[in-house]
Amino acid sequence: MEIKIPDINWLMASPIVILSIFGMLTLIFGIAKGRHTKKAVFVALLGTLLALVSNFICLFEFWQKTNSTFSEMLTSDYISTGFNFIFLTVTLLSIFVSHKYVQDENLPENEYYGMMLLSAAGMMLMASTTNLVVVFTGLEVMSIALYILAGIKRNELKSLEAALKYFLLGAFASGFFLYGISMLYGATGTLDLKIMAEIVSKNGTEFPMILMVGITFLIVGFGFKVALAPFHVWTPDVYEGASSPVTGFMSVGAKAAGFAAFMRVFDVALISIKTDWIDVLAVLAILTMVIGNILALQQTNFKRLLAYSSITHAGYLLLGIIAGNELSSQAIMFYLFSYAFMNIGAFAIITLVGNKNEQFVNVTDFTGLAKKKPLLAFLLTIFLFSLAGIPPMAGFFGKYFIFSALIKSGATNLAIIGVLNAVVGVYYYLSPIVLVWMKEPNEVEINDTNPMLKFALIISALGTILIGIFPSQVMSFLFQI
Amino acid sequence: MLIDYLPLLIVFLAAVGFSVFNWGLSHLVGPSNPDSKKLEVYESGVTPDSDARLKFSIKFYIISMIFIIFDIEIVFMYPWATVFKDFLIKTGSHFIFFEMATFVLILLVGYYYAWKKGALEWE
Repeated sequence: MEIKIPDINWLMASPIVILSIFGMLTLIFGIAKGRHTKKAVFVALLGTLLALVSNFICLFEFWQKTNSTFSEMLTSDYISTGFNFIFLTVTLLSIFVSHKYVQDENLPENEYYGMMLLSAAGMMLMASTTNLVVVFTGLEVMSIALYILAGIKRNELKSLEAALKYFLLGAFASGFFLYGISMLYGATGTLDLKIMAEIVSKNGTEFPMILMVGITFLIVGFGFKVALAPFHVWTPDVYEGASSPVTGFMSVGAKAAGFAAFMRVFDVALISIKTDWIDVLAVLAILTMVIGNILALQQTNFKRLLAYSSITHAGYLLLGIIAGNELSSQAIMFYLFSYAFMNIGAFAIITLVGNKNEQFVNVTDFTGLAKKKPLLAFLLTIFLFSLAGIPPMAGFFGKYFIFSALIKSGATNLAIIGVLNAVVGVYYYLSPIVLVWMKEPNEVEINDTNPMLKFALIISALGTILIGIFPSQVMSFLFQI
Repeated sequence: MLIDYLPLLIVFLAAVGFSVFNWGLSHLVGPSNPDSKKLEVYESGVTPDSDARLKFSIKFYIISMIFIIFDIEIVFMYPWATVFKDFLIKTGSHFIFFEMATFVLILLVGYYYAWKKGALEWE
């Protein structure tokens, strides 16, 4: 038996390693003294910032070429560094947004931020590998931490319901995913997506039936994680029950991680048999966009509204997977990067207005916000305009890149359906704005004194606007096109 | 081809048909005079005197969770121990030792957390 010592490049692994170490440090920070510590947030912030710096170094060190380390288990390329940026931005913004909430609800800081960091480490692991087993490991690290975050308010029934629903359905989806992986392994004899791509393209259409079954299972598994219809049923309940900052974190983070792996499996490993899976994904994409939009139209709870909107966004992102060309992977990353700012910004405002115990999260609670807090109303308008895809916000260019990639790949009719759905979406994003600006204020009190939350709002608004004004510069800087 | 599985389908249908037929037959022609003794879960067993579902203290669940963590650790350590000597001789490197040390260190963080949270106290 020959034994090989794996080559190790610590720089390549550094963002994940730093985030995991700081996640564990945050978890045990101050636990020896008392149950509730107030300083754990700074440990978490330090860890995220260090990971961000190391990811910058990775970006300049490894761009243009694909590198792998730990016996091909870890990969660093423009996809992984780009996605790591998205995850770290999401984590950083979520920590800032959470600060007020964690203090108001008196949640254990070390556990809250520790789980957030560990979950982000799982997401990064999912995006920076081409090995299916490592993808699964990352998925589990991410999901288990998210289950805990969803139920972090353990004395509240709604939060517990969300955690339990998310856990049961998520565990079920993980089972599907793992089963799909095993079938792909059975059909091709490898777990590495790059080698799998070669084997699949060499065999042409002469592949065993089991490959198709495996692909189906993988679609189901991914569909659950990124909330595609008809696997979206858990989304509104979980998003409503979990705390607002956590919802913002998982709606962007888990979605981005799911699409990173989705992209690697379908647009790298299985691209040569695209004709076999494209119809399934096209139907799923249309269904997701239509169902998300139609159900969002009649929501009165702001968090449920954004949950359905996030389902719709998953549909647009799936269009990017269907396009499957050079442009589409960058379009997906750009979309998710802009989505991170606008969605977390929107959830930050919900956290702020919702106040203690999330009493005010209905759309009607936002009535007349402009008379009370004009700046806050202005920021909410920016985020909702961006989510709707109105230029010059970031959301417009995200959709623009996705649709142009789709048209370049020849699926013009799908692009038309996507644009029509985007038009429908404008209605339910605009109706809260009408309430905010044109109605008389209600007596909901707004307490916007938390500096960290303010900072998060400013950063998200700046990100949403600046990405919209300089889309190509952001693209070329982050993804080194 | 799918036609090769036809015998399997026939056996399957025969099995389902047989049980459905017998069940239906006994339902139709069998006499039925239930009384309280007959309707008990164990007709000829001990008379049940309380609900079958009991409340366990949450401590048991915590202990079993901690047990699983260390159980998994042993599952991972066992194959590691079998190749440990081989690895050292063939490669002359202590890489394998530090791999396990990292793993145990991560587990220790979890252990410390559980300890400080009071998961190991029975009171």
